[in-house]
Amino acid sequence: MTSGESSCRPARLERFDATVGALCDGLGVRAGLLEDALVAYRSSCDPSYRAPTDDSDEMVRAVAAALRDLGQWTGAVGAAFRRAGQAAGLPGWFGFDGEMTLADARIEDALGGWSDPYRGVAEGAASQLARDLGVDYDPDGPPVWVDLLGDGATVTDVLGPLLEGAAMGLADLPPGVTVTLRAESGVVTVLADGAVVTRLSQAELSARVMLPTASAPRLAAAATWVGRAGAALAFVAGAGEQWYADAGLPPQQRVARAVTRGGGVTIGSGGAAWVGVQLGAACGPVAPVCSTVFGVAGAVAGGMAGDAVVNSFPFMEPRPPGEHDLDAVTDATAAEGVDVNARVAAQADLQASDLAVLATADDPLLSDRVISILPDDEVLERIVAYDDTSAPPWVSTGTTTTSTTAPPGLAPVPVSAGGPAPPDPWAGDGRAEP
Amino acid sequence: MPSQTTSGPVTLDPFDPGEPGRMTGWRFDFAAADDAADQLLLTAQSLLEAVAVLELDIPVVTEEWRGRFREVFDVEMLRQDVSLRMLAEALFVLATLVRAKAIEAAASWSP
Repeated sequence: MTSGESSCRPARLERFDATVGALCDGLGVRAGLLEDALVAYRSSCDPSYRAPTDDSDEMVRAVAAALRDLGQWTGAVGAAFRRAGQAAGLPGWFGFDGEMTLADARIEDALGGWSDPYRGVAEGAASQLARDLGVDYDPDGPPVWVDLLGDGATVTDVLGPLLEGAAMGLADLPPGVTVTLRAESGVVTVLADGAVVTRLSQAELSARVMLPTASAPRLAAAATWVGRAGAALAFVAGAGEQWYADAGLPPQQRVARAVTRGGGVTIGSGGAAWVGVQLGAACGPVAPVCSTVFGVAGAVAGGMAGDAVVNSFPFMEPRPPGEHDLDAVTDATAAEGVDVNARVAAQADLQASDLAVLATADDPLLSDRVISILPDDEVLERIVAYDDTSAPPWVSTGTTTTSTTAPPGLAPVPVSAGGPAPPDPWAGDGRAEP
Repeated sequence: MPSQTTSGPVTLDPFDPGEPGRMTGWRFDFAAADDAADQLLLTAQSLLEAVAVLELDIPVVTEEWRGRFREVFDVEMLRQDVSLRMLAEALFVLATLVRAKAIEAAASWSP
């Protein structure tokens, strides 16, 4: 391949578009379910005891729309490769999984409907981004940040360079200007070549990162939402990452679990890979969902059973790389009728307890009442620390173990899906009675 | 004082609105708050499931993909990945706020 040429496997790009579309369809359904719940919440709970949740569902829709747009662009690039390849006499039939190399100009011509085929991304931006992230850019390997995030980097770790780009966009600075950001008390000062250019709120920058192509009104609405979502969001590596880890689903393991047959994904060696293959066979294209719905032990057993079934039917062809059951992908992200992961719920309850204590600290009487009705944090911590591979029998995922919001005397009774009931974190001795 | 049951929405209305000499009443539906928190957490879970599916597919898509268009994909996909994670974090934080506020409401309710 020479300069001014590009290569790819067009069918994979087109399949990626389909997968992203299915994901976004599911997220759309999920946003609707969220909206219904939040409307009911806002209409039935007094504002003084209500969290600011306005527009949360809209943010889900907006982020999904941005993702769908990128998926469609990717598919369009694949289709453009295929069409240009056909025109050049290459085997460009739909579904052709071979590699194709063509001149960029040919692909640009075939990429109709996109005013900017490069989406405003400057040449060299990927290698610059890699430098800013402190990693080597390898255009022949998977994107460097996949490994970076898979190795435990937080959102905050990779946010800096993206915020810088967002600041340049908001400050209308041309590429090539040296931009420095200085964050103080929710305000980010943008310095270009040493001089202060503008000051922006952290929420504005975060909105710009999340919705780079949004219109000005939508960006403003997003910034308002991000601001309401709290300072915990943009510049603190706290809750979500911790939750990610505490949920027992480190990214690398999640990806390993999600391996599908014929997926062509390189995964690590050792136990995680073995588990990944087994789970991939068991759960198919939406294996990540299985990870939250089923315990590992059960899924591994299912994986073995799945393998046995597949191996019994030699006529069953492996799926082409990157092809999924799209309905299953949509259902998985819609998560309709699914219970909150018990460990995630317990983690939320622990943090909610801390917040409630903190919020009432200046009122001793109220603080005492809060403390008297908090769930048993030891039980919650046991649920959070619960290890999938050695699941104690009293915890069954998908049960309502940690609801915190009933008033004293109205604590929910844990429901067990067969087997012994899990511990009730609300069963503390100090609970106040109404 | 409203009757309390464990089935269906529970609404507390500890003060009669408008009654002379008493503060304005407030309402709190604990079932609605619980459901709101659950839906926020479920949506956060879904967003991270989407991240997992994408991170599964990205190495497949980018295999043998080189050149100017690939560079665009790398930059844009990182932005999407981070956005999904940020949104998931924000929704998780909101869910904890919903629950914390409900605890506060329960503690504030003085029969």
